[in-house]
Amino acid sequence: MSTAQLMDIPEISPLASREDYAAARRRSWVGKSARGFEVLTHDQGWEIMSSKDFDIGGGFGVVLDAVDLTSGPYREEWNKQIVCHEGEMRTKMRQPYMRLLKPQQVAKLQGDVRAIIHGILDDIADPTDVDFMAEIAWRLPTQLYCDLISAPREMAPWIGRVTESINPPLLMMDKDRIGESEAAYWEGLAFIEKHIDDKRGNLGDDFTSELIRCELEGLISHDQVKTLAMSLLIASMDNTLHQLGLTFGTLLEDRSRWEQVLARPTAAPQAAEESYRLCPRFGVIARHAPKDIEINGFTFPADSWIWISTRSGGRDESKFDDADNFRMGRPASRALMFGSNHYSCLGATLARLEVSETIRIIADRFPNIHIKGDWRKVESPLVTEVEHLRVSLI
Amino acid sequence: MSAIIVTTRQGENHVLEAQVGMSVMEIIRDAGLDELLALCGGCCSCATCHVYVTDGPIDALAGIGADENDLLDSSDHRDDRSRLSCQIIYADALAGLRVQIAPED
Repeated sequence: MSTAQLMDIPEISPLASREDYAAARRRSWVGKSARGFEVLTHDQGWEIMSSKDFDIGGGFGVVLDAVDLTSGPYREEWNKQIVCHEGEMRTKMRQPYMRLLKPQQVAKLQGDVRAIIHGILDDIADPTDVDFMAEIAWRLPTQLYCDLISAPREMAPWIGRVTESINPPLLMMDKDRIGESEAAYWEGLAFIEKHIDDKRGNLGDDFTSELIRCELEGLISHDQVKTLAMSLLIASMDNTLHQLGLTFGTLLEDRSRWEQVLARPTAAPQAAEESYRLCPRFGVIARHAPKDIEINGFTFPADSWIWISTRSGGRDESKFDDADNFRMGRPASRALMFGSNHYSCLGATLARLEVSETIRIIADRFPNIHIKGDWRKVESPLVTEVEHLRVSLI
Repeated sequence: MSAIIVTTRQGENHVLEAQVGMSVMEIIRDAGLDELLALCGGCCSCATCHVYVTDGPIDALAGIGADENDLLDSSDHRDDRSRLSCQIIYADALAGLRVQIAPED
């Protein structure tokens, strides 16, 4: 990369405002920040994340390093996880979940997901004052997780506490909560080890049994059964439940958006996609250049980090007409948030099912749902969390 | 006739009014046939809107894209009639197209 190229691109913070992103996009599709390069436009972002020229430079390890989790038993555990692997090992570890979570398999969970959502809504004590996150968003993925591993649904609150303590402190880069994260990890691992041992003598129709079958078929090792079962505990819930909150905050903060949903309830999946565009849980998708790589006339130098900004790409005016507005019926466009290729989100279809069914069922049962007061979200350089979202269902 | 004919998994035939510019997935789903999940909303990411194109102006269909082809490969029921209905955009030339919702995998 030439000095001229570097001089020509805008400086942009990983926590830039919407206006700052828009101003930067007017200058260039790529910007620079303290952590590397920021890709600002949708199509270039998609091109880079889909290109096999880029890798992930050790993957989630870069986040662990950033929160000073550089050594010790907890780091060693994380090093075994899919998200810390590249190449053949990553592909091999993804296979069981690609089998379990392929769209056609996930489609079979629709009835179960619908039943859980109806049950959650039936249980709400006061429909005029609902803590959306605690009473709806937290309950769906945790109850579904229990079903997926054939654990009793009564375990859902415990599962929720453990998963909420493991991953979010790392994604929010909250160094003060690393001890909490580690303690929850060991607590979760003890549960998983016992759960796997119990399942070995009684294989059934659930994810844990399928992982054990993968081991019996020689696809994965004994130890990887444990690691992959931990992956599901770590990664299958907190991202979905925060996206549920972000989706409903986005749909309800402007009544005209919810009216669009009510006008076409069968198009709930499109409403969900539009919310991922405007308010994605994952603010960036990371890639690493192992060598000099030229994209669109710009050369990313070897060993540089490239951060594809979903927050900026989703509002790219060159891709989306009237980009800041929620509009159903746009030409379909793939959400950047779920990634692409061999690093894509394995649970994307499951998350899509949970979010779109929640929209569909609430639109049907509680069309007058509205926000009480303001809702609040907090952005880290990596993800966005919902801090406060209270609604009335009636 | 601005319409397509859709056969459900149970073998029922439905004549559905079609609007130019809408995808066949949207036409089927908006008619209330919920056999078609179309979980990704039509962005060619999930293969849950798999149909067989069985008759009608098949020659007027646009070709299968690489992403659509990859996703169809993930279905146990792919055959040479397979398409993702989100990738068939209705145009006047497709009036009378007959599609059948593919079986569940």
